Amino acid sequence: MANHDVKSVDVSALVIANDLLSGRSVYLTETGDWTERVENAWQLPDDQSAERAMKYAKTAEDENQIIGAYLVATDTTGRAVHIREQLRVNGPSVQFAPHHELINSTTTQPLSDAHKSLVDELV
Amino acid sequence: MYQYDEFDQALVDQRCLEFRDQVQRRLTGELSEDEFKPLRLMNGLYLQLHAYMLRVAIPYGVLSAEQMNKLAFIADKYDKGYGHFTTRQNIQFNWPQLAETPDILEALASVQMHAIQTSGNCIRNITTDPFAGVAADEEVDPRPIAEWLRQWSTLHPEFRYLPRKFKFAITGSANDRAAIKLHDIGLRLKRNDAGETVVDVWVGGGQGRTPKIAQLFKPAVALSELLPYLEAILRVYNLYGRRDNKYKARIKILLAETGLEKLQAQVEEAYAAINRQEFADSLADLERINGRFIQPDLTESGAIADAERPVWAMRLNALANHSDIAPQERKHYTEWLTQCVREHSHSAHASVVISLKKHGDIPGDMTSAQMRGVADIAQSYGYNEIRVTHRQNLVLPQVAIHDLVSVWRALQQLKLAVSNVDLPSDIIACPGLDYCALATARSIPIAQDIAQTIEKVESGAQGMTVNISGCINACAHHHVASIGILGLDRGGVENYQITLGGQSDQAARLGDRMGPGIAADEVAPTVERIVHFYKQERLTGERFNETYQRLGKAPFKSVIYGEEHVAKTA
Ligand code: SF4
Repeated sequence: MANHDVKSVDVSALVIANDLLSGRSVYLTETGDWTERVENAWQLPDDQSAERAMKYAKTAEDENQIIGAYLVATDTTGRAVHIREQLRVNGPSVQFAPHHELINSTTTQPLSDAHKSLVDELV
Repeated sequence: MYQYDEFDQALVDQRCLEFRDQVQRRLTGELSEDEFKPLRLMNGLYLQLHAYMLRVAIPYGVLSAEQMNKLAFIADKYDKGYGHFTTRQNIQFNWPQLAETPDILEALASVQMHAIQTSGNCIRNITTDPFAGVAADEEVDPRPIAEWLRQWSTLHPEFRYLPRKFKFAITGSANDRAAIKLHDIGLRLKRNDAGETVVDVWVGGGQGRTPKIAQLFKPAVALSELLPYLEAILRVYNLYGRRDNKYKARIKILLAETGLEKLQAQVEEAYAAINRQEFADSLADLERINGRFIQPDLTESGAIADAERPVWAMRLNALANHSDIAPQERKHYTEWLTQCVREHSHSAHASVVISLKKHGDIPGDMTSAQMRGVADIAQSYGYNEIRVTHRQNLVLPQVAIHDLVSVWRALQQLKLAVSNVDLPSDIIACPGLDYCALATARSIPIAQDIAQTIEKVESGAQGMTVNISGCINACAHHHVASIGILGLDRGGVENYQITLGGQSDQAARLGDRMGPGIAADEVAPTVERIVHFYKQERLTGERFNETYQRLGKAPFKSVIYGEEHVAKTA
């Protein structure tokens, strides 16, 4: 599996995992809870806080709340640096089931624009 | 279609109960993720980027209308109203909740379906020709043999922990539509001079990081010898296949490292040691399986003798002039007949390919409404049967010729009368980085961009394939496409490598890598230029790969990178 976790914090980082029940991406908050809202994620400024956060995450894994926790590098605005985690945060960049009323339309965005802006930003 | 007997049903019912218990123990914390993961994978349950993903087996790609309706029910009740058909002729649901997966498996079992062996290092779902049993060019129907192998391999105690996953494909036609040379074992069924079925066994094909075309391992194996012979191959692979490096664990690597002759000798030795008593009933089993394939009776429907049968192109022409077609509809109907309707072994019938590649849609995705609609069409006009193709389309294998207009109209209502089968926009695309945890780049948006870009220029580029994989695992068969596209991660930016000239049929060939990768937004215009160039340069009747072989790499590189770049790097 491609591994995008970071070993040391450059700008800042957050902890991402999958919720055990739903499998959805969740983020560790400063209070040690897990949220689906990335804006509530605990932004970790340095290696010490990252280490502490990963200890919380390990406990949460042992307590069967979450699986697969790892550290994700973020930029100064708190946004994930790598496209893989950007997609995990925003959901698929494609509008699935275009001929079906979407159940969760907030996680999708029209393809071409989303795709192009993402690529523009990255290049 | 094959109908389960009590043993089949008991096996899947038992597996549902077992999995319900395993999920329950995971939810209460009795099982850790490390303990649970292999158990969920044995039942097709993966964890992807955004959610769990359940991969459901569609044995040799055959579905009944009732089963399709059940998939629609699952899509609505447990997912987001859609499913994704894969190159393994399976379907994947992208959003199930862990606690509900036992209910999904139970729903599947109620229509003789399951998710067993859709993951893990075991023998996976066996794939075959989507036109099996109906193709005009078929020598032997591969479906009963596929079912025979399915029963032999399901939960085979010796082969549950192979060095790596193991894939079979089977064809009974000289025109290989099952890509048998790209599988760990490919079987070509044919008739010998005495009219008996014999099997050419091809070994060591595969894609991924080290793509290989299979080699003819043993020709003309008698049916009575087939299972022990396959058992011998698997036994040798299980023994000698590498377990120290997963990238070198497939049988293609064992074959390359051992050499053909030596591996053949090892298999012969294992074959001689096999206790034949264990296979004493195998032909009787095949006979029993044959009896459980309920074949529709096509005899009443006004077939004409083969000798009087006009050539298919002339028949299509005649069909296009159907009196129910209004003059303004004729162009679209004719296009659909030409692209989507195939000759059937019974002259009063045809097979209809349903493209799941509407320009701009996600290749292989289908909504629950479309699933129900196709199930209705299969019930009304298709003897209840649907096939899934490895090109991520569907087939109604038998439709009476006089019902084609009604089928076309019904498909139009479902937005599924898309006349691009075997054209470049009939793209195979894997889920890529939009869903897949292993991906290095996205495939779906690239496929959508390409299809929309080339829609106006692709007409006439028959048989030119475009396949896009989101990583080196090559699930979308990019190595064997006319234009293969592989998405990679170059310093955090998606980058796409182009190969040309691959094909997956009886003349299987790996594509040639053209040069450095290109940016995501360059892919669609590049494909458009290649299509243009081919149409401009081809000789009459020449397919893309023939033009490519005749002209060689150089002019195509110029088309991709521009004259200047090619001159600089020459
Ligand atoms: S090719 Fe790679 S990205 Fe695509 S489905 Fe396979 S593993 Fe995932």
